[in-house]
Amino acid sequence: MNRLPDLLAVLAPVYLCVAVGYFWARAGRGFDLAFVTAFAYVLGAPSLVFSAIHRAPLDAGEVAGMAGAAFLALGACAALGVGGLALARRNLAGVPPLALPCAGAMGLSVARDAFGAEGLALGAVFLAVALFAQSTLGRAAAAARWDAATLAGSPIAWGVLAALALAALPGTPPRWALNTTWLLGGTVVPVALIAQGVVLARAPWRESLAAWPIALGRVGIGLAAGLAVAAALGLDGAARAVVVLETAMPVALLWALYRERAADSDGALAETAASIVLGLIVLPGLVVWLV
Amino acid sequence: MLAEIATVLAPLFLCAGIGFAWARSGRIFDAANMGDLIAIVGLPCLTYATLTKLAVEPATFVRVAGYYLVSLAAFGAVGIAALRAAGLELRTYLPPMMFSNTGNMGLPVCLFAFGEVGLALAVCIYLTNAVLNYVVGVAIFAGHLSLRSITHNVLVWSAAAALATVAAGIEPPRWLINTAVLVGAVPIPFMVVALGAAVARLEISDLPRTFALSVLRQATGFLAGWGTASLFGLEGVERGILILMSSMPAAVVNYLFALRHGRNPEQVASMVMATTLLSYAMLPFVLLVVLPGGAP
Repeated sequence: MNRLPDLLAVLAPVYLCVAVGYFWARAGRGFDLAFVTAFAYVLGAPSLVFSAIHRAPLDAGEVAGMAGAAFLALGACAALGVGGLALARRNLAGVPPLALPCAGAMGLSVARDAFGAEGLALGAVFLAVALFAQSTLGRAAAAARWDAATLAGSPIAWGVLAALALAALPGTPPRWALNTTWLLGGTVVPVALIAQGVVLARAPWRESLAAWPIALGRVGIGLAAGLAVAAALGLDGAARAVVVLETAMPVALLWALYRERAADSDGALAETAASIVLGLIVLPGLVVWLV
Repeated sequence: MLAEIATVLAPLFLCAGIGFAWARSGRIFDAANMGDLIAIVGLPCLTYATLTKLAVEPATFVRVAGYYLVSLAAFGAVGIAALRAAGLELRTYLPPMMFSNTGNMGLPVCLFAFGEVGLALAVCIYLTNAVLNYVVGVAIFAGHLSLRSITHNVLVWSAAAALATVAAGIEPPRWLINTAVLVGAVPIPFMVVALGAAVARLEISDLPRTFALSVLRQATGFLAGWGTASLFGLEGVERGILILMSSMPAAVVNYLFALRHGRNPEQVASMVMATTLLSYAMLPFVLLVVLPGGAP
């Protein structure tokens, strides 16, 4: 994609939504990140996954293919993260922000506006896998508690899992179910983008020096992992763009949220914010290249 | 027909049920901040996207708003007469009798009953009602009129911009439409869930009086909408939207205004709660009257 009007049509929604969140928070207005993310991810994300898959429609094979690609891409990020941190002789506690991209915001918005219903559905499947990983492994890592209750205790994980399972059922679901889920699913992308803007406004920039290497690592590792997986699986078109974009996204909002109660909560917030800045910088290039 | 009605109402009931359960579970439901964000950013985007997408001409806007004003005048007059007869204070009871929940409840019902065409016409009525609620409604509670709420309202400006765009025959740029559509997808689902959460917190006091007023309000609203539609010989979507919007319950925002101006907020909250519950019960029948293939 290289015509300016096309580019603007795909990119403007992202930058304008992030700007809304940023200026909203800078104006001193309230934004309860925990509540809003719960709304978007507990109610919105499963609804989006279910309705987008049916609207495209994707068949079970296509869903499984994208879920597998997402799984591999996130796994590759984690492996590269472990390797990178070991080489740099850093604590492996730094792996989650390197391995967990925010799949419900920039990448999903671009997928929708560039590839229509198919792009949105593929991106939603990626989002399901990413949210599942974040709300199980990411949640346990954030609390440093690896018991069953922490691993399986998030309604987000169950929601996206149920949505994938329901979407794989044969037959057409009743219209009221599609109407309801389509309505709720529409909140995910705008709310996540606005939340990213709020994170930018609230980040402790003065102490963010340590956050930039992680942010660079997140986007760099994500790009490498996404490209490798897309090439290995022979993906093209919308599927390739979705895997590369979504894997290269900034640090997940849920990571900052899960770390809120930790002693170094500012660190997670700064990492997330720094990676959002990087995401906003590289996004136009990625769109020109991939779309 | 039953399946049609279920298709329209299921999103409303499911989402409101989720909000109700969310609030009752004691979890935080931050309706205040998100409500502001939706009022300042979300609804203007929804308004702009809907009015330009369906190319609603200024003349159509004025006509649909006019029908609603006639209906509103009819059920408002009955409300004033009833309140006078019962010796109740107009400053407390008139706004919830006149200004309806055309947003949280009206927009989604119209969207699901009549698709995007229905939503576009519903937005015209929603704007009319909202402006009146914020100017006349607040003036009744406060005791003085302020026009600031019109000139300082992003919603009014977004509607004006949309109507101007359509009237000038300009195709809005895709970056603007894509953004407006994206952000405009937030208000309706959020408002429906938030309505359930708000109802979970309100309580009904003075049950007999509240119930009598609420039945009167809901019945006259429906009849006024139906009568106005018949008077002007409306058919199809326009008729349906007018009757549906006239049958909406008292707006939640009246409770906030009553609270701010110290006008028996608990009485207003009771009206909101009771009319909302009543309207949930009567909506299937209203839909029976307005949906294609329904009763005349």
